Amino acid sequence: MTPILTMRGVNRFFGTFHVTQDIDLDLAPGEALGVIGPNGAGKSTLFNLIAGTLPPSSGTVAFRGRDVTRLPASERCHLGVGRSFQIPHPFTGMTVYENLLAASVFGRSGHDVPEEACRDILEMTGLLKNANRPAGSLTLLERKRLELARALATGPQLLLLDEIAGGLTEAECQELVATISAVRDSGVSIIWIEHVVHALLAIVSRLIVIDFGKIVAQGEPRAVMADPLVREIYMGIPADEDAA
Amino acid sequence: MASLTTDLPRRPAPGRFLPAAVIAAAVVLLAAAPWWAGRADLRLLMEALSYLALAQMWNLLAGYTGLVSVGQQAFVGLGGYLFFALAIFSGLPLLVAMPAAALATGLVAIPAGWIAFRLQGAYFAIGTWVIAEVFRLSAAQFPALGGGSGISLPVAVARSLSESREGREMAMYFLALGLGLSATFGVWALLRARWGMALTAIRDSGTAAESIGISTRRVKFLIYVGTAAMTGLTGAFLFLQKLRITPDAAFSVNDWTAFVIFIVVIGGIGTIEGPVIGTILFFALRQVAADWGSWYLMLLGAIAIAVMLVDKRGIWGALKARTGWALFPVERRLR
Ligand SMILES: Nc1ncnc2c1ncn2[C@@H]1O[C@H](COP(=O)(O)OP(=O)(O)OP(=O)(O)O)[C@@H](O)[C@H]1O
Ligand SMILES: [Mg+2]
Repeated sequence: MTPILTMRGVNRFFGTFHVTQDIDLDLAPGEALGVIGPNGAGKSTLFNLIAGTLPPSSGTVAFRGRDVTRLPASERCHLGVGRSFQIPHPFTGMTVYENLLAASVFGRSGHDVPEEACRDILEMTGLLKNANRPAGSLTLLERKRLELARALATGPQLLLLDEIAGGLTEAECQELVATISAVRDSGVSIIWIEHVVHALLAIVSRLIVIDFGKIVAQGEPRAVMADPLVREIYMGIPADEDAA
Repeated sequence: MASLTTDLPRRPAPGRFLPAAVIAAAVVLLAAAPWWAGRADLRLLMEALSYLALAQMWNLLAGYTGLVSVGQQAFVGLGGYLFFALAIFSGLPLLVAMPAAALATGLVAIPAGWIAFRLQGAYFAIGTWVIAEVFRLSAAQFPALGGGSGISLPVAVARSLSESREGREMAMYFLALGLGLSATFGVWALLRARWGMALTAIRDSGTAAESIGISTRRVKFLIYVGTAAMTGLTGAFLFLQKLRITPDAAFSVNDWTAFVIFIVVIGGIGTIEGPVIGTILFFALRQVAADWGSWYLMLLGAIAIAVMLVDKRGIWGALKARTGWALFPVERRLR
């Protein structure tokens, strides 16, 4: 099966700062991949390179067998890349519902009735009761949910989630995990950057560890977490998150 | 999940009746102006309505797509000059020459935008100003259009609007009213249309807009060209009213961009109501303080700075944030 996503020799510099270093990555259709790594390791930058928010300095990115390295984010979205932002970027002057409606309409989601699809996604992400509120009035946690909901509303085949579980209570976290596993089970490929490791391990079948812009370990999640090198990188991470 | 109708809005659904009534009353009042306003007032209203059209266009461009142009005088002047050229040399009827001049202005905006869009942020602003200066210098190079000293519209052309002076003034007023209203209601219709969501999205976050499939570059370019055409139409009207055009008047950065930015910024950038409020305030101020000479300009500057310091969102932006009011609602609600 051709991978849904292929990255080959991808590098990204900010000035002379080599943030993403020689990334090679394949993602199978329907696969859920977890990404961990210390702060500033270059995880979000990797998402920007996959989604087209940033162009790579060198290397290629292919999506569904097609070279998308030169395509802007909007066209990658049309092809099926949906993303959330670590720091939420809601359309503050629109209602929550309009945020999703815009994503469904402009993202070429393929929804027959965008209104209905958006309602379902709002329900699924627990935002239905806030549907007609201005997105600018949401709390940070609600904004993170909106990031997930809006990415889903574009009708993605690959969903990129950037730290959406931080700050949730245990019950909320369980709900989120249930939502994401439903998305995964519907056939959507997922890459999830998350510091809340136990939530991540409930979803993903493979884990990669990024440190200083490089993939330093990857494989079966529990094996990766047990790797002494990974434990060392994660020394600074609180024990409860590491425990899972 | 609880029923939507019971627990949805944080505040009651905004009334639709009151805003509609306010708008209707304003439109009726303006449409009846020739019967209640004196000649001087009518001229003032005409000018205010033209400025409203310019302000709505600049707001659409800068307030929604983030393209801060300080060179919109390029299109006012171009619209004016093209209109004069068409009216004088082609013999086209006035009411055909004006939209033709607007269309041609839009066409010229395509290559102009192609150049300006290579630049970002402040460089874009400077670029638009440079383009306008190039237009101003070029306009002086056509002897047939009076070169640097400009040209007057032949009396016969103005006469074609109406034989009597009263008739002409009436026709001009309704042209101005048509401009001001179609700019305002046009922007409203655009923002209410599905495609218009792209504009609000770009205003709120260009990065996120791009990530949900909005080609921000394309949208910005279309708006740049569209607003240029409408700005050109307004320019054609402004110089029809003045009956004389010179390069300096046509491409004046003060008259056609600085005052317009003032209007939008104090009224409330990124809202439809802002340009309306700003226009009213600007002309009220001018009535009071225009004879103060340069003190007047300093007053305008001081007010603009005060608004920026107190609340960057401008008068309507601040009001809207506190009260949720919308005179021109664009919101889509999930029922
Ligand atoms: N646009 C940019 N310009 C310059 N430097 C940047 C830019 N974006 C990211 N960086 C730098 O690149 C490095 C990697 O950032 P990135 O956001 O990818 O890290 P991360 O792994 O997502 O970290 P975190 O866990 O804190 O989210 C950081 O040092 C950051 O300061
Ligand atoms: Mg990050």
